[in-house]
Amino acid sequence: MQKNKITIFIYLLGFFILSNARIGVSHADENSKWNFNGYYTVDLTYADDDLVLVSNSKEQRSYKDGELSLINSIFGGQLEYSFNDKISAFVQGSLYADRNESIKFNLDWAYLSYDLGHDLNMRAGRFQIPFLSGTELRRVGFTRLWARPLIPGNGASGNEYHNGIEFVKHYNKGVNNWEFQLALGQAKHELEDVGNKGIQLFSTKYQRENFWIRSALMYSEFSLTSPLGVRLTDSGHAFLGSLESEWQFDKFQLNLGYSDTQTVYVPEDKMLYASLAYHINDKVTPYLVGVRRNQHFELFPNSGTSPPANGDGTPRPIPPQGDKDGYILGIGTRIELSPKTTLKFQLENIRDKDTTRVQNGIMRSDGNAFSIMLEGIF
Amino acid sequence: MKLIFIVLFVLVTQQSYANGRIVVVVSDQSGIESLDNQQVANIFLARTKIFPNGNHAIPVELNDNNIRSLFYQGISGKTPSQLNAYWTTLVFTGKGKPPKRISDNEKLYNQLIENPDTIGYIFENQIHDKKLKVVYRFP
Repeated sequence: MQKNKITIFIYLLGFFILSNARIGVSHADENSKWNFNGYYTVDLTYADDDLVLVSNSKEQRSYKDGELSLINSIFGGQLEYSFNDKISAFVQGSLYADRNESIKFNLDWAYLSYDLGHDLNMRAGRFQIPFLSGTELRRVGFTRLWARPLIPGNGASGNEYHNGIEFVKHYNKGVNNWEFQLALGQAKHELEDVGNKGIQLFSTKYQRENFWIRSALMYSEFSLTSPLGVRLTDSGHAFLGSLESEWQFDKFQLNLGYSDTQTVYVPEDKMLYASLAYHINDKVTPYLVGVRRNQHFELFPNSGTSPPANGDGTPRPIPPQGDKDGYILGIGTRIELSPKTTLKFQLENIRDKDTTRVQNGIMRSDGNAFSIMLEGIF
Repeated sequence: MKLIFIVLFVLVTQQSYANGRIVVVVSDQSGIESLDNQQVANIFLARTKIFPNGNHAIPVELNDNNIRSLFYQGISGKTPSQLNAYWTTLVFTGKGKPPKRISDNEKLYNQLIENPDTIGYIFENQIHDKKLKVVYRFP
């Protein structure tokens, strides 16, 4: 409890300091080579059952029945240094509480960017996976309508970020705008047993007035080691595809997203989301949102059913086999308190069915979460 | 309370009309003669860094929320909140950043005049120098 109070205090202190700082997205000093931008989410969530919610960070967010928690809050910042008009260096990190409620810092992005001209940019370093807007901008809640990311933390086949190079090209013709992105690198996977040997990703975004659509294709090669320490494969493949779109018509806003992932180990991993919002005015936007995710796990041959204990003596988890289905249905409202601050309310019903733990039978959960969030940029 | 809002609204709108309409300007040394609404939007919303003639385009703007709101509403229909959400998406993915903000009119004029690659917007009746060329007028 003491630790929880400290966490809350640090969050509130950080919020009050940073919200009063004259820095950020719209306060760049005209002569400075340095530029700082920041964001924050103060998330107060109540769960009426034992639930796992989609996290703003890469940490899993488990809530106990009747728990009221600030644990999904997050702060982040980006520091940019411009060497000249063409070359800039970016470092971006986030601060959040881990599962033990200790404050943790994560380096999310770190890269050098070079403007090649002709609206083509090359950059090298560490990047979030540009598979879906939710995998790239998970931590920056101000950019999305909803209270939390729609894409789970492992939405890009468990890949968290990649180290490599990216090319971003813009092309415009009249009211039509295209953005092409090529990413090549080596990804960091959330599981220690997965060693990534390389990813290739290509995405295209088309934008026209109040409409945009984005697609991404990704291929990754990986090695996989069983919990028994046996190398199961040295050349596993994952194929990922995604499609996302936003359409604003009159006062309505429709968002749709779909992704499909196939690997030898998880031959089916489909995610679908849909949201309909109504902009009552410039400040208040109520919305409905639904998310569905279906995963099927195959047990690798020789992966073992009785893994040895971890170093601390706790048994290592048995590899899952079977189906895992999750559904989220939410209703909420985004209220613009100022051009840089927003307040969100969201009530969501979360249902999960898990048949992958054969020793436990079918596990089901069905609960509700209510969140109040203060989000902003500085 | 209602009366206060009406008075404030009248004052704000009168101020806008008193300043004239917003025009997009470049240095008279620039090779650009005119732009359309979409070309202006593409440059100021970081969708392109080049003018239609292939020259590098550097958008700059006055650090003044009133003229900014009017300008971006005019070229994109975005409210200040929507605009901030748009910039936040670009900034935190490293795919673009807002135009450089200039603290006062004099510095803005100097930058526009001295560098033919820069492009900015000002109220039309504030152009006192023939070294600036209007390339777009809002209808």
